[in-house]
Order: sequence, then structure tokens, then C-alpha cells
Amino acid sequence: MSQQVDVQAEQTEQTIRESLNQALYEELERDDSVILYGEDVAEYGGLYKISEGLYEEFGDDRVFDTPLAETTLGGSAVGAALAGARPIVEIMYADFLPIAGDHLINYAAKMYFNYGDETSVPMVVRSMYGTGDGHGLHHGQSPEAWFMNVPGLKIVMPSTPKDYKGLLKSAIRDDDPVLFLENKMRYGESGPVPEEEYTIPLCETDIKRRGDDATVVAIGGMVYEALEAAERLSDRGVECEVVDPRTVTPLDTDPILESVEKTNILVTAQEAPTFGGFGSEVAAQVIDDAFFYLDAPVKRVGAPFTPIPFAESLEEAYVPTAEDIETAVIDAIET
Amino acid sequence: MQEIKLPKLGQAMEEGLVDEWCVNEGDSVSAGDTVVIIESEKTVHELPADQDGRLLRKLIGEGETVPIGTTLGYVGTADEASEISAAPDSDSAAKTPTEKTQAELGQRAELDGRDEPIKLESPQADESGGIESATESPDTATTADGSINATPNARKAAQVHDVDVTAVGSALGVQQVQSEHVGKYVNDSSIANGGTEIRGSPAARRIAADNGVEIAAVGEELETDRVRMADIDRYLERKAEDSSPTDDRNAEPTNESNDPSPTVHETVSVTGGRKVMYDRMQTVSRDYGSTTTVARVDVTQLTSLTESLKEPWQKYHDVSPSITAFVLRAVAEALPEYRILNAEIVEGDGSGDDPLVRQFEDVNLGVAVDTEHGLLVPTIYGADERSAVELGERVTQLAEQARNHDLEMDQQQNATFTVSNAGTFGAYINTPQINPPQTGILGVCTVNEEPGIVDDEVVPRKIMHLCLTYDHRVVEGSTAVQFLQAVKHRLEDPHSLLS
Repeated sequence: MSQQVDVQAEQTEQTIRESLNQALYEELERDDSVILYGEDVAEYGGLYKISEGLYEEFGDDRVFDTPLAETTLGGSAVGAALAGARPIVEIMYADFLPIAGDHLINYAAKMYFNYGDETSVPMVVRSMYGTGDGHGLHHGQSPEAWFMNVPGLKIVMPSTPKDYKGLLKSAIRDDDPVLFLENKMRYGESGPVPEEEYTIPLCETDIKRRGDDATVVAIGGMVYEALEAAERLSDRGVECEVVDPRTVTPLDTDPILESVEKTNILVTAQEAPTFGGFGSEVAAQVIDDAFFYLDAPVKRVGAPFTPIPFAESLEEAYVPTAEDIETAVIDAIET
Repeated sequence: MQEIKLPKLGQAMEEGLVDEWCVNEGDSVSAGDTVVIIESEKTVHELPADQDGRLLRKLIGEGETVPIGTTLGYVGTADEASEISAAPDSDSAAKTPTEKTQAELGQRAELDGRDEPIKLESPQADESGGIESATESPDTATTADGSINATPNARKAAQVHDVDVTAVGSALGVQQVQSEHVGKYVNDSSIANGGTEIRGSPAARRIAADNGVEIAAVGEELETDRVRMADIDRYLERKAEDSSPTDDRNAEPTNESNDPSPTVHETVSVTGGRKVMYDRMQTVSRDYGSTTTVARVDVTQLTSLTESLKEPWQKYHDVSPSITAFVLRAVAEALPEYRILNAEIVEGDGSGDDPLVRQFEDVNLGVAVDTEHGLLVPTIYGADERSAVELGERVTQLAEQARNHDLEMDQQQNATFTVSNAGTFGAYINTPQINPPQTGILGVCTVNEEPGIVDDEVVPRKIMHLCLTYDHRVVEGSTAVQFLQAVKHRLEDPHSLLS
């Protein structure tokens, strides 16, 4: 069913916003059981205009607005999925995912294991994260680590327009509950997207840049920072391999290990606080399975262990950047 | 699917050498076919396939020495090939499609083997088989000279500090090395190094082990206390440069006069039986109080006796009478009176620091046999209960087995004293080295015609030297001399040895 991306195919330059809108459009059109709902997703077209035009195209049976009530959004999506629909729910800010958390963690993620009869919950929760727009404590946190520890829940955090589209389509078609995290600071990033229809399989790590000197495993928006750091380091004669897992859980670890076995140095990069985060898990797995290939301490780049500051200057200092990754790579190499 | 593991073939066996793979990876084998030949304690063993199929994987390369219990390879059907990587541990083994050397694969397989500890009879073997395989690569595995053991924690600590447990044991004079010994050793050497401890990164340690390089040596050479992968390369390059004048000279003979260093004909690694000799002789020369006493034995009567026995022995026993057979008989008769020489040394068995000497009731004589694959020492069990002719028969038999590489493991163990005959090569006086943990060895030298004095007359006599090397830490000089005299007197009255 999924169609691999043909490298020869015609590509157009699109923003993440456009590629996501197209993914939603194509899936709503393809499958009548797909529905999209949430706060301001219909008439307004989504706060970030991701679902613009879909309400007009598919009508309010398929695309509709809801009250500001995340508990209901989560619970109704689990119910709809069990009843045969393929709901796509938007939780406007990932900061509020914990309100729907009970339905995600204790119901959506558990149904398959609870019944043991192929009962599935084919739902997608789209949610926005991303720091740097002065939204303060409650509108920019990266929530992947909060849910990473829940077996049964898939978490997808793409980086490029092409990945966003291909992975969202796969997430909608997937029979398991998927938390699809979109970086609101990166919706304007543009890149080539195939014109023909395609999907990108979940749970496949992608290598975004080849290099022999250090492995940088970056997730979501940090992939852009890692690529920028890699370019700067390249000027200094250090070639980084930028590894983009794309799916946080279940994690495709093999390409990460292979990369570290080649470069012998590991740096991880995430927007969330470093402590107890995605990078820590990657570091632990590499230490477990490729210990004798490490030639330097593992460096983790992430936010400090404090809430996101509101003051612009403090927020700027808080957000991890390409400079931080560059410094971490150099630190590892020069240990 | 058959997992071929290095079996434990003797009580003292801790590791074995992969001598030869008889089939290539992917080749088909039938049940009973020899798949791999291993060597341990100087004995060669063939490990057969127990099923029809193919050799799916070789994990350990030829010439590598690994601890017992190590998986050497797999035999099975082609369908089962995919299970190998998936089987031991879900994660790591399957995820390395990149090409690897066999050593790396072996190491990986051992790491994966953690979940299945190898069950062995003795706790000592369990440590080396189970834990060592999990924490040490084959290249850094400690030598099996049988004299120093270490607890699993000690081995882990040794791995962390990149030191050799054998070195720890001998430096601190303990046989059962525990983790606090390692700590003490490391601290001591740190002090000796001026307070800096040289550490290697995990990758550097792996590559150092692959190249047979010590992390400490690299650190000292490059003057760093943190050794990284690149440092190993730099070190190896420097070493290559150091030895390159030889190569240059080979390439350009014109430089010959400028370069006084000798040309290398061949560099040979010390493995297998020769490695056992290397380790044992090192132990002896380092730890033993080896002292030699010599007796001059008049064997005129003995040689005429063996001459006269030639015909009947060959006729009835199919064996030629030899000096060796009578020396063995004399030694076997004399030893029970000098049990300190029919003994082994047990250093610190864990209960206290006092060494022990275990004196044996049985007299099992080791007989050194020179073969093309090194010196072998087969054992004559119960030598004191055998006649001279029986001893002669046994020596002939064992020597032939040794030359054919056909000795069983137990035929090379449990000797309580050793006799070595270098006389056949013409040695006039030859001081043998003790075979540890024994306390003595008798060297038999060549028979020479010399003028002797009998009844105040100078007459031609046949003279032979006997050299007894004994461990002076436990054997007193007078005891050694008396024992040697007892052997001498018996040989000079050879008819007594025919009883």
C-alpha cells in the first residue's frame, strides 16, 4: 500500500505548512472514514492554517470545530477509532496533551494489548510544539519524553516538508494510535516534495547528511540546527553525519548504531530539556550496543532543566541551537 | 542448528586455540564431519558437526585463542542462517550489516552471550569461561598458565583499568585475585607513574586489543593520559617508522652500510603449545627458586645390561631397552622416600596467605618428548608400580602418540615429577626447567666414554650426568642431593632395577 519515494520523481518546492495541508487533503479524499476535528481546525482553517480549505472541500461531517476541551477530544477520538473511523484530532498546543493524556496513555495505547483480538485504535493526534516565539511557559514545550515511555503509542516528529507529508499519510493509515508532533516554528521551512503521491513508512531512521567524523542524532526541528552545525563544522574539516530518527517510538536504532560504529562519536540534539529525554535514551542504547566503538563521551544537546522563560533574551538563551551542537561536537572530538 | 562451542577438555583447561577451520563458511557438512580443529594444552581436537547442513558462520578466526565456552561458529540449514544474528540478543547482533572482521564478530557474539551464562563444573573455570568472555576480547584474555585465578569482579575491574589479572596476581603475590587487589595494583602503578593513570576510550581499547598494543604503552609513548583511537594509529605509525630502516635497506641495498640494525628474516607469533611453554617458563623463572644439582653416574654396567637385554626384550616385549626406561624405574623407586619432590605447590588457596605443598601418594612421571610441534610431556601414571620393561613400552608408545599429535588431554596432565632426556641430542650437562606446579625435574644427559678408576686402575668407563632442578623454596638442598644419590646408586647397580 505504501509507495516508496522515487528519487527520479518530479519535485516541487513546498513549505511544511503546504505539504501537511496536502497530506490531509489527500487522505480525506482517499478514505471516507478519515475525519479531522479540533479547536479552530474547520472554519478558521487551523491556528497555523494547516487545515485551510479542507472544511470547504469536505464539509462539516468530515472536518469540524470543537470546544476547548482536550479531554473530550482524546476520548471521542478513541471511541471513533474503535467504532471504525480514522480520526485526526488536533490538540492545538502540545503543552495541553496531558489533558488528553489519560485517553492516550490508558486507553488508546492499551486497547490492542487489553483485548488481544486485533482490536486497534487507528487515530492520529496532531499537536504543535516548538520554542522561540515568546509564547512562554505553556505554548512551546516539546512533549516527546512525556509519552516516549508509553508502550503502544507511536510518536512521530518529522523535520522536512517531504517527511512531514509522507509520514502524516502513513500515520493516518496506521492502525495504531500515533502522536504526530509538528514544530510550529518550522511550518515555513521549505524543501522539495514529490509531486506524485507517496508515503514514508513510520519507524524508519533517515540519514540527512553523510559524514565520517561524528554522528549527530537530531529529532524534529533540531534536524535543521544539526544540518547548519554540520555545514559550519565542515568548514573546519569535521564531517558530521546527521541522523534523523523521524519516529521517536518505536525507535529504529540500527542506523544510529551503524553510524556510531563508523564515526565513533555521538552527539544528540533535542529541543526538550536534556534530563530524561530522547537523547538520553539514544545515548543509553548506543552505550549498550556499541560501547566498544565509542571514542569519546556522549554529548547531549537540549534545553536546560527549567521551564521555558518568557523574557525574549532568556528564551533565546534557553533554546538549543546550531552553535550548541557545534560546540558539543568539538567538545567530543577534543576531549 | 548446532552452536559449536569451545569445550572444556581437561580440568586445567581455560582457553583454546582455533587451529584450523576444515570447511569454509557456506560449505555443506555432514553429521560427523570435522568442522574445526582446536588446540589446547598442546593437544589437538577435532570438533565434528552433529547434523547435516552448512557451516553458517565462523565467529573465531584461525590462530585466535579464546576462553572455554566461547561460540566458535554455527552449523545448520541455510534457513537458519538468519537466526544466528537474531538469536542471541534481539538488538545488537542483528543490527550490524556492515562488514566486520571475524574478531569483531566474535567479540560481538560474546557480548551477546551475556544472557546465557555458560555452566561449567568448577567455579574457577566458570569465571574465565563466563565472565571473561563477556568482558574481555579474545586478544586480551589472560593466559592459562593455571597459577593465577581471578574473581569475576576482579576481571571486570581489570578490564576497566586495562590491566592484566595475571600481572596483578604476580605483582601482589596472590593466586586468587579479587577486585581490591586490582584497585591496589592500579593505585600502586599510578603512584609509580607519577600520579597519572593512562586510560583508553572504549574504541581505543578495542583497536589496541586488535593490534596487540597496550594502552599504557601508547599513552607513555605519546605522553597522554587519555588514549583515543587516533592515538593508536599514531602509535602504530611511529612503531612502523621505527622499524622501517630495515625495510628501506631491503629496498635500497646502497643504504646498507649506514644502517647497522639487523635484517628481519621472519617474525613469528608465539601461539599454541609454544605459548604454553612461554607462559610456564615465565612463571618458573619469575616465581621459582630453581636450583640444579648434578650427579656423575657410572653407567658402564647399565649399558652392558641394556645391551644384553636387547634380544629378549625385543623378542618378548617388542621394545628396545633404553637408559630412559631404567632412569624412570630408578626415579619411581626413589621418589616415595622424597615426597617433597613428588609434589605440587599451591599458592594461597584463598583461606590464608601461606602457600601449600601438596605431596602425592601416586607417582606419575611426565616424560618430555621433543616433537616438530614443540615439546610435549605425556604422563606415565603409576610409574612406581611398573617394571622397567613396562616403563620402556609406555615411553615408546607415548612418544609415538606425541609425535602424531594424538595425545588425549589426560595423558598430558597429573604428572607429579618430570624426567627430561636431552642426552639423545648430546647434552653433556643440561639444566632442565621445572614444569609448574611441580617441585622438581630430572635431566638425563648423554653417555660418554671417559677414563675411570676401578680398583686403583684407570679403565674406560661409561659416564652420564643426571641434573636435578628443584624448587629451592620448598625443597632443601640436602634432600635434593640425597634423592639424586639414591637414583645414582640404583643406576649403578642396575640389576636391582629389574625386580
